[in-house]
This record gives sequence, C-alpha cells and structure tokens, in this order.
Amino acid sequence: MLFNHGLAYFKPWNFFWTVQTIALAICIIGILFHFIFIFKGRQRSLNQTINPLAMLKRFFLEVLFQSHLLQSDKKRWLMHFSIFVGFIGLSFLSFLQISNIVLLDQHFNFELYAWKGFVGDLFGLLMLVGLLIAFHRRFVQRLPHLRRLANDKTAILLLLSIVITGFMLRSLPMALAPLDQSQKSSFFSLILASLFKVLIPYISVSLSFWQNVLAVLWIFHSLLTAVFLIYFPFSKFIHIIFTPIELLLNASEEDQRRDIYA
Amino acid sequence: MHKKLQPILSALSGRQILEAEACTGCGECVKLCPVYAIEPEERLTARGKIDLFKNLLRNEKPPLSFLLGNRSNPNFGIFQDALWKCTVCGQCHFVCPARIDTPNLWEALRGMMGVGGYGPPQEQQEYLQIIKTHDNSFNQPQAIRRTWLEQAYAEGQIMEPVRNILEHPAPVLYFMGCTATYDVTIRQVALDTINVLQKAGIDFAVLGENELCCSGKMKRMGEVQFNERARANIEQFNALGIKTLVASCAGCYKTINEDYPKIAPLNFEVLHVSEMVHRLLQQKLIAFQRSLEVTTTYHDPCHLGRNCGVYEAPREVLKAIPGLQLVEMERNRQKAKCCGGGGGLKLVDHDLQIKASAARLEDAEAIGAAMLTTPCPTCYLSLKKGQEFSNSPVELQHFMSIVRKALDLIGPA
Repeated sequence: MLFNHGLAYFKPWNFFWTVQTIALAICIIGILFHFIFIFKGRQRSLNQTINPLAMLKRFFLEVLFQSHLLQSDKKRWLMHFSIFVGFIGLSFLSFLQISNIVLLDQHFNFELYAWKGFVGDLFGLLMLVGLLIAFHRRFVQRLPHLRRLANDKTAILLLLSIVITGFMLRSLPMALAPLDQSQKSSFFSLILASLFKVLIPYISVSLSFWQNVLAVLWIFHSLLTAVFLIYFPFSKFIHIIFTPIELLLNASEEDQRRDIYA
Repeated sequence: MHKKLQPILSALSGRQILEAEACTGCGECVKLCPVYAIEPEERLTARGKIDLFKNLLRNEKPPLSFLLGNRSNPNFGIFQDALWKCTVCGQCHFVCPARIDTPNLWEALRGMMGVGGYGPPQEQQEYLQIIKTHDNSFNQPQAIRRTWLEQAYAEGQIMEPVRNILEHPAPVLYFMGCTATYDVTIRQVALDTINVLQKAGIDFAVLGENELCCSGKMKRMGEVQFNERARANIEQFNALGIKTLVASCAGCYKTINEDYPKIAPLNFEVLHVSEMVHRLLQQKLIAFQRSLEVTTTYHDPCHLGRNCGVYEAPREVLKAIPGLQLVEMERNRQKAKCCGGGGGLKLVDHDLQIKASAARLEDAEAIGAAMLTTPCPTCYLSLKKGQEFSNSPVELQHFMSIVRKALDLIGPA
C-alpha cells in the first residue's frame, strides 16, 4: 500500500529504503538469534520417527486453514484466520512489489495490474475485520481469559494502525484525483474514497494541504511498518514463525492420537 | 543468579525452548486449568508459567541480553512456585491452539530447575529421597512386597498363591505399584486384580520384593535421576521374557508405557488393569454375573486418559455390568477435570489438591450420580480426601472393586 499512483505527493524514498533496510536487518538478526538459541536445548525433541505425511496434512489443515480453531470457537477462528490470511497476503504483495522495484528495476510495471488493487484491498480488509474482532474481544468484551498486557495491546494497535493508514493512503488519492487502472479494482478503497469525498470539503479544499497530509501519512505508514519489523522478533509476533513449527512437530509426534486429532 | 540458567538449558530440548515463543498468550489454557479454578492466579496457568520461563530466557537470549543486561530481573522463586504448583494433568496441551506439549514441558522445566539447584520444593525432595533410599515411596522395606501377599493368601483374601516371576517365569507380569502394595487402604485393588486374573486363568506372576518403584513420581517432579532408575527397570522387565505387563496405577502405566520407551525400547506390551479386564471380557475369559443397580460416573485419570489415550476400555467394562447405569460428567475424556492428585501437588499444596478433588465430586453430584469410580489408586485416594472434606453423598468405589463385585469374587461387600 506504499506505492500509490494518481495524485502526486512527496515520498522520501531514500528515507523509506534506509529505514526499511535497517528494520529488516534487525528483524532477520532477531529471528536468527531465536533459532540459534533453540540449539542450546540438548535433549531429543522428537521421540517418534518423523512423520512427513502427518506434518504435511497438518500444515494444510492447522497451519493454513486453522481447522482446530474452527472446531473450538468459530468467532475466534474468523478473527485469527482473517488476520493470518490478510497478513500473509499483504506480506507477499509487499514482497512482489519490492522485488519488482529492486530486481526488475520497475521495467515491469506492477502498479498497472488491476488484480493488485483488488487483492491488496481484499487482504487489507481481511486483516481489518480480524483486527476489529480482536479489538472488540480484548477492549470491549474484555473476555476474562484475555490479558490486557502492553505486549498484547501493542500487537493489535500496531497492526490496526498499519492497516488503517494503508487504506487511507490508498483511498485519499482516489478521492482527490482521477482513478488509474489499478485503483479501479480497489473495491474497499473506493468505498472509503467516496466517504472521504464527502468529508474533504469540510476539512480543506486546498490540494496542497492534502498532499502534505498524504506525505506525512506516507512517512508515518512506512515508519509503522519499520517498527513492526523491528518489534517482530522481540514480541508475540514471533509466534507467526514458531507456532506453525510447533504444530508440525506435534503432528509428527501425536498424529495417531484421535483425542487430539479428531 | 541468572547466570546459572544458560548451562542448565541443556536439560531441555530444542522444541521445549521453541515452545516458549510458540505460545500466543491466547488464554485457552486458563479456562480449564484445575489449579487456576481454585487459585485464580495468572502465574499458575500454562500461559503464566510460559511467560515466567520467557522472562528467564530473555536475560540469556541475544541480542536483547546484550542491550538490556539484567533488566528483565527474572524471579526464580516465583517461577519455581508456579512450576511445582501444577498437577501436570495435561489439560492445557489439549486446549492449546499451538499444541504446545505442556506436560513434557513442565517436567523438563522442573528437571532444568533441579539441575540448577532451584527445586524441587523441600516437601518433594524429602519424598523423592524416600524413593531413592527404599525403592518405594512409602518408606517401607521391600520385603513387604512379598510378605503381604503371602499373608493375604493365608487369610483367604486371594484364591491361589501368587508366584514370583523370577522363580516361575510367566507371560504376564502384574506390576502392582507402590500404592497398591503399601497403602493398606488401597491394597484391595491389588487383591481384586489378582483374583480377577486368577479367575480368568491368566498365567501371571509378580516381582515381589524385586519390584522397584516405577519412579514416575521422580519424572513428574523433575528429578534427573529418573532416567537412570527407569533404565534399571527396563533392563529387568526386558530380561523377564514377558509378553504383557499389567499395571494397577495410572501413573505407573503412563511411566512404563509412555516415558520408558523414550529411554530404551520395551520388548513387551503394557496394559492398564482396566484394559486387561476389557480384554478378558472380550475374550470371554470372564463374564459379569452379579447385577449392580447403581448410577455410576467415571472419572478419567489424567495419566490414563489424556496422557495415554485410554478412555473407552474402562467405560466398556462398566457398561457391560448388568444393572449399572453409566452417566458422564460434563467434563469427561480429554476434558476431564483433574482430581488434583498428580504432579506432586498434594505434597506442595495439600489444601489445593483436596479442593480439586471436592470439585470433581461436585461434578458427579451435579449429574445425579450415586457412585463415582476411577481405575487409578492415586486418584481414588485423592478423591477420598475430597469426599471427606466436602461430605459429598456420592459413593466412591475403585474400578476394580466394582469389577470384583460384578464377578462375584471374594472380597469386602
């Protein structure tokens, strides 16, 4: 969502690349330290023969589809599955865009593809829905088994901020300038743009004002993604890597247990 | 103090270190934790314990350890208390969306803390010392394992004398366990089992004074000598040439069936006595003759159910008894509430264990059961204390007592 066409506004790309590179380096180093640390454990991790078929089955069922969550609590599954699919989807999209810029030197104009606007919005919307459910459970319903620790709150609020600023960066230019090819398929951003069109005259009719707002928003969004990358290995976000590994290890160990894998 | 942590981490597996980070902190474990239900403190839950473990690791794990130094201020005392105030019932494993193998994690963490000199608690250390010194957990001479059976035969409590397997090899070894041998209030379980096996014509024998404690309690409490003692038992069992080992106690069964094979392979099958009775019924070697008109509910021992997956065999036996109506408590099978008797909790917090047992009896009362039965001597004893505490009207019967009565064998009315 960092790469919007249409309305021109100030985008300090050098700042972006510097911050993102540092953040990504910290993220990768942090993750690597986790893996190195794991090898301090000297006891045997698996007592059964490794069962690749069971692991593959559980990769699709539990890691990707999260069937075990669906069985226990449908609302929780909707929340987690939406965040998971949205997060993976947006991460993959960002990876494609960065690869496009870094590796293909922008000869292949990724921005013009209509599907990009559609899937970007779809993943963003999924994430937003999941995060709003999480927000509701934690801050409104205040379910007794949910903690209200800074780490838990930060995770939700950080992701929410990234998604909301992302959608604003996508929809505000739509409200201020004619649409380009990829924007036309951004179904959710178009709805937001129509809302902004109503609000904009009440705030300011000056285009330069909105260009400044977008520039600040752009920098803020890129900072948030950098904060996310830095925070990732040192927070509960690390479960995104380790929970699937644990699910697969357990599948190999206990695949025959019908009371676990019904 | 924390500097000691790094070397003792080798007592864990890579998976167990990884599990600290796999926990999402979702709190599903909080909902069904039997200890938290009585003492609602976050640190006592699986999530709380993992958080405390993470806090210890944070001090050791680069790069934060370089940047923050000792700021995370790990509190070994709090972690130690939380770690041992747990029944290791395994309920948290079954509800964990990350499928963290909590029972093995708690035991390994207890072991790790023990290596570093941070546990087990004094009460458990004294108990473990008894096992180490006497090869049983009752501070009694080993010879009693033989003499009490001879006396029981002399008094007509068993139909035939029980042979020693070292003198008379047999395909089936009956591993009585310390509780069914030394606890006079529970010996009837061993007598009933012997009578059932004799009635079925099973060629079995016992180890007598050569039976050593399975050392399962050592494993649960994190005593590192467990492996050494388990290996000695495995060598002894494997040398007997038996086909089947039958265990009375769910804890012994779990230890021999689940923990021993992780140390060395076994050359025989392991059955819990409830599975053995089920098999004898299926093979028509025994048949229930007496009707027992009673509404009964079944309590799943954690070591038998959640830990070993044995849920149906004892239920099938109970259903086969004429007149007996089996009803289920709201939480049964893999969600069965723990009686509080496991993991050495009753040594650390006796009151908590009694309250957990009383809560289980309340569950039985709530569904209108007149009787509650369980096939584990440890659960039975714990529930008995809960019954005395709560004055529950629910009658408590060991599973083998019901089987014996339905078979119309000798024994108390």
